[in-house]
Amino acid sequence: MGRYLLRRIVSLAPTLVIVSLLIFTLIHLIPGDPARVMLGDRATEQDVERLREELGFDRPLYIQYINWVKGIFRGDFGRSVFIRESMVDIIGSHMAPTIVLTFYALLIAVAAAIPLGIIAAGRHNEAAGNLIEIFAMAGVSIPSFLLGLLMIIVFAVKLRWFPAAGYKTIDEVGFWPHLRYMHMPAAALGCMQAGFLIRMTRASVLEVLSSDYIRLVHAKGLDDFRIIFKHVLRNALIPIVTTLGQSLMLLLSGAAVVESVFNIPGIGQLIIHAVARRDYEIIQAVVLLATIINVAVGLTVDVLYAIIDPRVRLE
Amino acid sequence: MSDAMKEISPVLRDIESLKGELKREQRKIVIRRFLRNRTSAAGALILLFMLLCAALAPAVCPEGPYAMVMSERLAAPSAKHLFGADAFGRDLFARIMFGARISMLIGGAVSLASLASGLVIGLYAAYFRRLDNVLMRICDSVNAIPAALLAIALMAVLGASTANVVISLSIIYTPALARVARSSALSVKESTYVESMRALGAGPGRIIWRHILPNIIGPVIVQASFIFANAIITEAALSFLGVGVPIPQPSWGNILYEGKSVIYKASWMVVYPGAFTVLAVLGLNLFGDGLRDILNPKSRV
Repeated sequence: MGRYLLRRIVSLAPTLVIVSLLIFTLIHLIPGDPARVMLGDRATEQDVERLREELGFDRPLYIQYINWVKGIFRGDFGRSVFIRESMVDIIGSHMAPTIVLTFYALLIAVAAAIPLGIIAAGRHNEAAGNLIEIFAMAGVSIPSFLLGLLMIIVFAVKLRWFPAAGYKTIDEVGFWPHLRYMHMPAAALGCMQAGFLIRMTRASVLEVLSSDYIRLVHAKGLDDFRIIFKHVLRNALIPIVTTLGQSLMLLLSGAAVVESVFNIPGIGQLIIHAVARRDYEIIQAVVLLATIINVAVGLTVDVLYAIIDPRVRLE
Repeated sequence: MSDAMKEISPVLRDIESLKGELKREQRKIVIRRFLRNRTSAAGALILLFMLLCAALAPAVCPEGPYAMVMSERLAAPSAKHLFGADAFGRDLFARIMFGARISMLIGGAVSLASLASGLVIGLYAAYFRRLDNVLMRICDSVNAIPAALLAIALMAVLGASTANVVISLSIIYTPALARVARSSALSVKESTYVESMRALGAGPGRIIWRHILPNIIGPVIVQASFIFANAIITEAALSFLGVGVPIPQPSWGNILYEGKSVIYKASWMVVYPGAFTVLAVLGLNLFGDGLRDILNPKSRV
């Protein structure tokens, strides 16, 4: 296991180097002088010159890149020109709602999808199975931000069950009231992944159901319930675990958009406001940090996969 | 030409014509299966409807998507404004029709662009082992960046415009297509007929484009149709966030963005463009699902 883990971590190094290069070149592709773009047309030449020196834009690109990477290893992700706080503080305070939203949405998606997927497989070609399949197809076809808007119309404007938008931290109002602001966003965000997971679970369970050893336990006279829970699920859920990692990444990405529907001050709002201000240092830092989280999630999933299915680590 | 060759040339010609006939027959079978498969037929029908909306928008709505009538601001749906009017008194039906043009244009352009670049990357990576590592590492890296954030960052750098949305989305979706093309090509590459083509002295370019490509086109087209659907979603999301198609152009995402601020007064600003977005995405998903079932009977359980 230790060797497998080491091998996986080493193989991530080139990906991270390429990602950092991609993000760096992307931001430095901005046509014209970034310092001038940041300060706008009305800034004096001296101000622009000072900012250029401050941010190191006057040095050669490869030195800027090396300094940037060096900074990251020291925990220094650059400095916003507009917000006088350390980048770690800025991103940290915006990361919390995004993480809560992402995991809550994943929870909803999994809790809905795995039972529904199993039922859809057990009752395939029957009314219940078809209904679940239609639901799953609808789920994957509704963009989460749109579902969020529709939920606001129904549950906040018409029925007044939930607040339409806004956000209160746990520190401000406590855990349950905090969650009250998160129910709708998380449900909206989780729906599409629920759709994907239902289809994955269904396909995976169906595949296992048609295998020989299941036919054997059937012949032995075991009842369906026992077969599903004791014999099918253990094997059928293996591919689902790998999908979960992917789901988490897609949810993290989707959270950025859903946040802006519900005015939740997360990473998505941060980057959108940064785009409006042309605060490229923040964009660069947010994209890099989100990518690192993504890669870490991917690694965790691979390790989990190797624990559940020993065949993986022997390859 | 040797005597032996002369002797067998009519046979060769026969084989050629038989091959042509076989191909036509196969194509007919695929089309028949496609129409008989309810999923893909429904998807194709929806797609056709969307393309018709896009094509006929100027004919159906001669006033265009920009005509403002101030006295009809936020008018509710009625005979005059089928879907109501927006905050500037612009007819929502016209804006949604013209919005279909932008969605279809962006979706189509993105799926074609990522088809072209994904095929080149995937096929060459599969054929040349040396390239494989480098190209796939780059694809992995692009995939590691959360798609929405990468799209937003790209739009921030390139500037908001329809063309830049196409460029950003193509960059994001190319790796997915390259991966599908590569993995299908890898198995085809090991087949004996590719080996025999190589033995006959065919160059890599010829083998890749004439002999491998036709055999992997199925899964690649399926992937491209899902990219079409995802491009529509992501374009709507980017425009909704204000970094996609610039206002006042009538994109569905733009209408939803404007609808959000009047959601208490004018729910039709969200419901109708939303319904069109879902319908278009649903159509493409059904289309892709059906196509996959037809091309790969194994996936039908």
